[in-house]
Amino acid sequence: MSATAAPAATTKEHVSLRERLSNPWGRPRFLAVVTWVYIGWSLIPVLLAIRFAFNSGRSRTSLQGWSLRWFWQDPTLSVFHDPTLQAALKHSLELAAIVMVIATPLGTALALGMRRWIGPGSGVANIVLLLPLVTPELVFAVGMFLLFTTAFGFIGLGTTAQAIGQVTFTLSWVVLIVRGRLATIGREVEEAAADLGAPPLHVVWRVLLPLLLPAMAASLLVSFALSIDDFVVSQYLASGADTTTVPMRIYSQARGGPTPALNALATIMLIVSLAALALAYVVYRVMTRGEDQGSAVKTLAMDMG
Amino acid sequence: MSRRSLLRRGGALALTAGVGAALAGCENTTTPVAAGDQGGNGKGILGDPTAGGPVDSAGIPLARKDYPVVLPRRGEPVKSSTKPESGGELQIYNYADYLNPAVLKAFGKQENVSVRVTTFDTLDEAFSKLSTGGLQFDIIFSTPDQLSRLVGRELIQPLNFELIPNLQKNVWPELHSPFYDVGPRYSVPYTVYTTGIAWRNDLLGFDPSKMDQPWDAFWSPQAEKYRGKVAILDDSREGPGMALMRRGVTNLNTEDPDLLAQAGEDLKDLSKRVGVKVSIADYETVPAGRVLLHQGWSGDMIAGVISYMPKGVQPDVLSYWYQQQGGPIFNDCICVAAKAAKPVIAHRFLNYLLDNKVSYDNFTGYVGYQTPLTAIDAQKLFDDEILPKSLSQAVVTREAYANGNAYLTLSAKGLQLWDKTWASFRNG
Amino acid sequence: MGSRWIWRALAIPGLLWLALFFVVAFYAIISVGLGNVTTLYEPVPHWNPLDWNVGYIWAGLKAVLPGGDTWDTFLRTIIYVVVAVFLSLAIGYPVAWYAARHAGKWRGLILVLLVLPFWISYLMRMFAWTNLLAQNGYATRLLHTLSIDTLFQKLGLLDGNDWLGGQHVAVIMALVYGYVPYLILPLFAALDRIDQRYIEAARDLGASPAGAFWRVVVPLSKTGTLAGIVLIALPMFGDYYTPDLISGSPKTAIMGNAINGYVQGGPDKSLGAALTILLSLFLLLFMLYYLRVVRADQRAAAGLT
Repeated sequence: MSATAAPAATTKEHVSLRERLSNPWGRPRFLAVVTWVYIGWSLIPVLLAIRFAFNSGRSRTSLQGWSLRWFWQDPTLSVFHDPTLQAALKHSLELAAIVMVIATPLGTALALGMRRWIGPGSGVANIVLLLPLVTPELVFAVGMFLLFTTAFGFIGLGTTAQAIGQVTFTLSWVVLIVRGRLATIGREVEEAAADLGAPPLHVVWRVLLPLLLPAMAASLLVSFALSIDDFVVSQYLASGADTTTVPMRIYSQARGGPTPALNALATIMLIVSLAALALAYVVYRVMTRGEDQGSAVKTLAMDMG
Repeated sequence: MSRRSLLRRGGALALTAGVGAALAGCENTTTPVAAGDQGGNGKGILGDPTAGGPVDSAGIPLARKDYPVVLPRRGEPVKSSTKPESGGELQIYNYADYLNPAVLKAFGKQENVSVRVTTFDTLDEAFSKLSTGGLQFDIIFSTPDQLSRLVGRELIQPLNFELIPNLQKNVWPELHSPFYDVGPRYSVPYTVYTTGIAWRNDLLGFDPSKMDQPWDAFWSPQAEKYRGKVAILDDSREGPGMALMRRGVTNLNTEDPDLLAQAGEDLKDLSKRVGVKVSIADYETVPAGRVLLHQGWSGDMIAGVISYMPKGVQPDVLSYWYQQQGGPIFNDCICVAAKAAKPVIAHRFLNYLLDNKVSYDNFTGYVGYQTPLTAIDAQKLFDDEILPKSLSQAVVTREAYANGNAYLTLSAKGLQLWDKTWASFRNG
Repeated sequence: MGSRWIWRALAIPGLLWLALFFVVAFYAIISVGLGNVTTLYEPVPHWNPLDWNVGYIWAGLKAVLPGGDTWDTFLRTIIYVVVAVFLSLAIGYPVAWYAARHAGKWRGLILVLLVLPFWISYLMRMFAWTNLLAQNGYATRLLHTLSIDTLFQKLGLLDGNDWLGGQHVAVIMALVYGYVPYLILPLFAALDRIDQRYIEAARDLGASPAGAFWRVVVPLSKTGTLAGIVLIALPMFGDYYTPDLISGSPKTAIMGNAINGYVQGGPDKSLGAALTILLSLFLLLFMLYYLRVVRADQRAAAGLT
């Protein structure tokens, strides 16, 4: 690396000087503008939607002062006082809790098991594992809907069905995260333990799982965030007012002239899921402190692409 | 802006002695499509010999004004002596914004239950979800044309009318044993309404009611100026029905494939001309001015006046027109679900909604749809200038109801035809 | 050999779950679509392959081929997806390139901001646009001040002046807005992986910056780009909530709306299932391609480390 570093540096400097002279609107500057404009376009609408949640008036399109009215002050319409909005919030959180508690151990075990499977079925198993990521949610939801109203009719629609549906597509994400971590850990620790005579059960329980804790913590929180934001699957498998989630509530009320209470509800959910995500990131970094990590985001991105 | 009740602006309850409408002969009788035997030949319908009426080839009862239907009794009604349930939740399946929350709260307090409403956007969606069998409700709001299907699929239970004395006491006599549910056995009426045209008379450049064929307003060149601000109801009967009426067809239950194909083409043409939207939120979008010309139900504009007028906009900018001869006019109904967890409380809720004061509060305080109770005189709201004259056609009189046309049960094949027509337009 | 059992044991619950709830869900769609209906048009699934009845598949095929009920919808879906993917690439590629190569000290922040939309509920992001594109919304006002609305009207891209009233451009923009973050991340990963030395070699051989970009970077990122395209195109085919929220009109209905209408909103679930099968077959080609690209890529990455 060092041998090429010096000449590379000079080449770069040389190039960029030449570039700048011949083209003052150099590529990097133009790209920087594009990137920041994109980021603005991407995030400002959401920021405004959050801002409208704090409107003191009824408008969702213009700024009208500051107030916490739509969160809890308004006696009938605020999130705190409106039973339908509250029910949606409660149900979203309940569902997310169930999903994260089931998907994480299931997915971790699956990732561990698949790692060593070189046998005949492994190709098929890998495909089945990745399919939920590329299946359009509608196709999947229609399948689950028909399933739970025919063959698995004894389970029927409702919270159980919603939880099962969400776990099924969250599983692939958990596997991705754990696999990424397993790749970083590498085989040496495992093999060393095995060499020292530890039975495979011990290797898994005493060696791998502790090393996987950061990935599992991350999976818990990522599956929580995924579940909170899910719409299609929960809508198809819902069975009434009690099984409405926040995205479903936004969808059904958005077209009928809602009050900013809907913005307030969406803001609350956003804060919760971002907090979960930030926590996941922090926990992952803290638990893997001292290891040669690189960007966790990058690793995830590599895994996806 | 808080919802204001018409009650507060008007003062006392608008009660008068009974209107005493003489029942004129039914002009718009559509003969049943049914072939096949009258169910009353001893065989009954679905095994119930007491049931009778015209049925189609699949055995579905098709009620028409001159051909009443007694629905087969499936399951047993709850006994009068059963103790009412207490605590927990009463689950209602209904359109959105179709029950006054204050009325629900009061009932909940009175009976010690928590009332929860699950909403549907269209009746088709409701039936589709109900028929999967995976939903649990106590009370289902529906329309009379759906009753045959609901009974056939065992989704509703026969009612015990000893628990609903207000039906006989308060409701219009002609609805004590309606032709679609003789007895009655399964339903009580909820509201009466017409389907017509609602518009913003200050923002729309022309007056649909002055045209020779007002339904043509949607297809007219004048409407094309308002692209994107024209809407029709998101309902698989109302949509094609309007296209039929525009062509002068009076049989709203026709199963003629050519007429329906023409209606489908007309709807698609409407889409091309004005980029028509589909929605049932006209009570909100028309007062807000987001839609200027909307096929609407009569109660929606009144609801608009009650709750949805933006600041500074006067109620008299809203107009409503209804086709006096042969336009759709009917009532909807409430049923108790077959697997209701709280059947006794459900019956009590039906009775509660038919109470004079509660019904009036529901009507004028939130919903805007007139209820068929003899003590309620909706005309008085207009006479007292609580509602603007421009909406005077939104009143449903007993004469109009007696003479009106309605969307009634179709045979299975007919239903498929109508659904196909609607889907071909709805899916673009 | 004896140590293998633990890996299988770990993998089995997860695989069983996926088999039971994912694979069988697909089978349910097939059974209903190839099944029959009662006199009341309720679906009767035919679980036994020998009982399969292709009536509904034929009806579905007739609908989606030219002249059928859903042909217009299908055509419109393809057009929307192609345009949306094209626009997403036009926006996403420069941003990913900037983040990968030129971000310098801003890189961490930019990455976080690029990943952020992932974790904001899709519906909330669309909902934010309904606030902005309403009659008095800020976006509407801005577009009016910049005369973009009159420009679009002249070009025939805008019908009337209500952005939320059945406008193709609004739906396409919403699709781009919704899905471009899902494109940027794999693009970023692919571009990041390209060794800087290739570019420098090209520059040393006399290529201009633009030439180096088009002749070296783009081909090297091809697999990642194609995978990213597939990753956003597939969900668009199942999207029904975006047109529902952004436009209340049947004019912009796409395949997702048609399938959703038949399965959830109407009495013809069997036709809905048949259409889902046909759509899935259509997308299967893309899905298989994506899986092949991902696995080839993973093998290549594994080979290099």
